[in-house]
Amino acid sequence: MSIIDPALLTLSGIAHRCAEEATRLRAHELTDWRYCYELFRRAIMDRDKQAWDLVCERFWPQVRDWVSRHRLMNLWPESPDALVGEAFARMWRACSVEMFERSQDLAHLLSYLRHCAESALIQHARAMQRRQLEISLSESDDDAASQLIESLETDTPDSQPPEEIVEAAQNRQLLWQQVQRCLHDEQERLVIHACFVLDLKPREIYARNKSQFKDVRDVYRVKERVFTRLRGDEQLAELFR
Amino acid sequence: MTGCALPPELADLELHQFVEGDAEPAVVAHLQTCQYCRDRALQLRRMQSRLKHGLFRVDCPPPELLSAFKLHLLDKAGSTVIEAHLALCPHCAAEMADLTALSPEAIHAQDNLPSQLHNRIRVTMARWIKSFGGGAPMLGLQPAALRGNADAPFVFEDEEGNEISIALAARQAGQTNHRLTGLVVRNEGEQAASAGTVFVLQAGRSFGSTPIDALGNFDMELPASGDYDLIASLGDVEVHLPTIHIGAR
Repeated sequence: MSIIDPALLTLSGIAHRCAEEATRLRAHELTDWRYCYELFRRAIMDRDKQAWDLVCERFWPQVRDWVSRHRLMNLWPESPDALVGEAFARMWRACSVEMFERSQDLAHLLSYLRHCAESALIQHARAMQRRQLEISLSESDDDAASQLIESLETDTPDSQPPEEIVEAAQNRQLLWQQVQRCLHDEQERLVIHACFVLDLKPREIYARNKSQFKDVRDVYRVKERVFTRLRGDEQLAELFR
Repeated sequence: MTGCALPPELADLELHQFVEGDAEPAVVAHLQTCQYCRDRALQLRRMQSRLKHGLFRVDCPPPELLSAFKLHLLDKAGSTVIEAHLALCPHCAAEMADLTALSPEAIHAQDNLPSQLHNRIRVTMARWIKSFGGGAPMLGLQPAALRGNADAPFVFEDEEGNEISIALAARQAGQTNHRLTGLVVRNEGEQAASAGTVFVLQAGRSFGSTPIDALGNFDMELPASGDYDLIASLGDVEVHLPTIHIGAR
């Protein structure tokens, strides 16, 4: 058999061969996935939007099949097709030339595509996790519970305008930078990061870092010391306002 | 606030323990009685809540980066950063565990992909060896568009050295429609293409197909001018023609 370099084919030719290979796969015949790989290559390496559209067209049903069977799918508030679209959009944004060069074959790329679908689900789960944390921290449990239910019923992944999402993320970064400025040593950084970024209890922090602290009370002492400093920090107060 | 009802007032450390649910019974009892210390505990809790609201998972990498790490698609520096984060963050570690089932090996198993890409082409591609002169072929400028080029069809060669020639002609068949006709001949006229299909594609998408009859003829109506790609599938051989333009530019 001669080896025909897929790179020599036109985009149409590649797309045609991909479809032919899919037919072979359905007929349980030997298939050659180099053409589909080449389609990905042109899309990602050459940033060829037309090739990417063909990738989406070719693999849409497959990704839809994956996501519809995913265990987190029941958390997704929109249609499966919306998630499939999100998966392709994420891969288009995130897959760099360097990442493509490290991919070994089509299976690697499909794995990444599948992970992108899962990433969208995880991102949504993270947002829910944050909301749940806020609710659990709020003072009125009854109101909080109804707020949570309401937010889960009405929120979609895109319900917040993109500029607000970016602004919120920037504000969070500013807050974190200011908190870090108030920390004096590595032990303080460890405690504050674990308390507020990871949401761990002092008991858990001690259990994970026994070599760094004498006992749980030692963790509390560090936390209290930093907290006193944070309460007196004017720039932090300004950020909260 | 007028002051502690049961002096001495509780230390900040004790209030922290109360807020985290670790307080001694005596501290809880004090707070049940003393409004002053209870208000201090509430202030502490509010401040703590605001910090958690603002900072929870503030430095977690986006899930796509976890995926890329999982699939070894990151460079060394990127991998080191993610590795260090995973050692610290139980949330991302849990998400990584979710991604475990989606390894390339799982994709191979589920989708029947070959684990290595061997040369498994069953259909060989003919090699284009000669055709029109330079430039993109244009068909349909005149009613007899191929005049002058009709004697120079696209000529291909399959892997065994057999020639396949494909002659094309296009004519206007309505206000915008064009009719594309062609002849596929194998081995310099000794043998017409026994059977097959010509696929017509435009901008990478399948536009339609038409059968090749026993004498090697095919025709198809195209609704508009434009660039088209033709692929002649002849069973054991596939011929990919260069992009042709039909109609006036």
